[in-house]
Amino acid sequence: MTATTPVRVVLVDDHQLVRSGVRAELGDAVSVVGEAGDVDEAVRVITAEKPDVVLLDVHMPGGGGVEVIRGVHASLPAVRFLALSVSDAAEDVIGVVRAGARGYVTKAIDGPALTDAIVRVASGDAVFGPRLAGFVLDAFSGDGVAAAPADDDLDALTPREREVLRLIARGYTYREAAQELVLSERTIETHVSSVLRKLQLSNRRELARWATSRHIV
Amino acid sequence: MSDDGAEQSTSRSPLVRRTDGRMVAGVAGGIARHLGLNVTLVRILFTILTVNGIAFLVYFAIWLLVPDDTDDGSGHTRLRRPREVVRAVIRTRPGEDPHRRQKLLGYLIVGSAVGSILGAFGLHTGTASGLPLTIAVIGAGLIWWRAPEAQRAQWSSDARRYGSRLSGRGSLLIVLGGVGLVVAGVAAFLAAHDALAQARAGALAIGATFVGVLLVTGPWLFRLVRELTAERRARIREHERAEVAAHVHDSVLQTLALIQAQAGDPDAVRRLARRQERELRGWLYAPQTTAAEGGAPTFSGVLRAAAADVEDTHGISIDVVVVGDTTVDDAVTATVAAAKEAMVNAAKSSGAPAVSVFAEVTSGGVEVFVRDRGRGFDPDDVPADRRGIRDSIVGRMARHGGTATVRSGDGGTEVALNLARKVTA
Repeated sequence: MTATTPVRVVLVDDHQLVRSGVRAELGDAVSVVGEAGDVDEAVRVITAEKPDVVLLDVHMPGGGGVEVIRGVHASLPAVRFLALSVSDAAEDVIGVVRAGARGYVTKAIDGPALTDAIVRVASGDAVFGPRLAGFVLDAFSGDGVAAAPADDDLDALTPREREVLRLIARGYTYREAAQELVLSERTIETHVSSVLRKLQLSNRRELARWATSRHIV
Repeated sequence: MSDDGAEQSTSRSPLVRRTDGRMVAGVAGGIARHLGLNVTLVRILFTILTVNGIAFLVYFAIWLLVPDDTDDGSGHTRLRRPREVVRAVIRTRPGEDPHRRQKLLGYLIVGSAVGSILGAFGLHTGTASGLPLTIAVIGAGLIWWRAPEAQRAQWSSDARRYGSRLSGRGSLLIVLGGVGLVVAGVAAFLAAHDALAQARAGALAIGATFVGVLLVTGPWLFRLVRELTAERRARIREHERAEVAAHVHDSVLQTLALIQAQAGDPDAVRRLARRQERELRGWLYAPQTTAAEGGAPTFSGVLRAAAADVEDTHGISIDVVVVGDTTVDDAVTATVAAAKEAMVNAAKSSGAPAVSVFAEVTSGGVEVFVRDRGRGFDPDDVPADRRGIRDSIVGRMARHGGTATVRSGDGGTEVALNLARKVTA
């Protein structure tokens, strides 16, 4: 998308091996401008480099991804975060997304897909993999679409958003989902961003309770 | 009599409270069994002695201190609130004396009658000291009954910080109430014996001494408590660490050793690594599903197991995302079997390294999607003798009132299974 100027990325992970592995996987559309191995170092590097995107590990000694986002988000709102984790735990994933990450990908993701996800996050879109889509569908299930009239509209998904999420959970890319629903890819991105906003802003008590109580993936 | 009961001899059966055929808490029954006496005799003795309060104290003390014969130590902790004590006395449990309440009433009447007669003859020995002492012992009982729980609540306060605060405060109130009762009882006892004035001087001396001792030993006590806490924490941590280490050794290190031994065979290595990853994930992220559910399988569990099986057999990786869950019946089992067949097909024919499985359980039914990004095929082109899709997927779903749709093209293959039913999730 933005082939002219590569996206500037900072890698945050407490394992040197993972950082070098990720660095090797990333394509030309991305240039790694810094690395950090813990929360304090991450905040320092991000503040110094002001990257476009931070690739963030969820679990780290000294606080983890949520702490990094809290430490940087207020002073540098333009920096976007993409969570990259092996964790399957719903509360980890939902927690870091609610803290402000614009997406979540697993470490099993391949290089081109990761590059694509970074570029997408840099342009302001949200990145939902199948697992995150499943979590969100689960978290927003129950009272469903039609019910909950008293609730804020942030507290329920529209039928279209639900459809899009289900396709993503089935392993569809945004482009494939767009073809399937006869929509433009841009529209899919809009839906996903709106789901992300709901996930981050919803006050739904069930959401918080779900995220903490549920360890089942 | 109660003293005899407290001294246990080896030839006798140990003193426990009886839970079968009991009147109040099984104390009299337990003593009768322990001493080899008639239970009614023991009860009547208790009833008569209760009139001056002494047997009441003994009864209450034995209730608190002697375990019941189920002997799981949960006898006291089950009584969380004062009204549950009342309920525990009144409620009839299975296996109890059928005429329990009538008999209880009878003993009460006997007790009151004996009390009245003794009172009429001016023989009441203890109203002056018995009643206040009874009050004091009830208070002490409340404290003793409540203290361990209050302490436990404090220990585990981190774990259940969001638990009911009211119940924590309730236990504090009960302990404070107990203290109040003890003070009132002792004061009344002293007043009844005209010893209050002396007691005041004594209390002052005791109080001053206590404060003095506290001042001297305070820092030491404080440090002791802190050290004990730290030690307990360290012990818990050490225990956890040992458990993790054991697990890592049993699974991860063994697998790494196997991988090194088979380094020449990439398929075997991938399979081993994938299986280990799955096991470790299951252990890390879903410990309570395996532990809590015990034998009862759920849809998500069965589906994951099927995917794991295909992974192991065919050496591909299958990502399973499940939304919602349900219990397993014949139709669900058939759906999982059909899904497994679809996974096997994808593993064998598509050439794709990974398969995505998405399953959703809604109020309307169960849906499963099995998708790969390999080379697709034309379902109409499949030779008639290849029965996999027709029988194992489409036919199987149809037999259980479901549908199966196969879509295949350049972007891969997707098998969609739909089982419409009322789900009791």
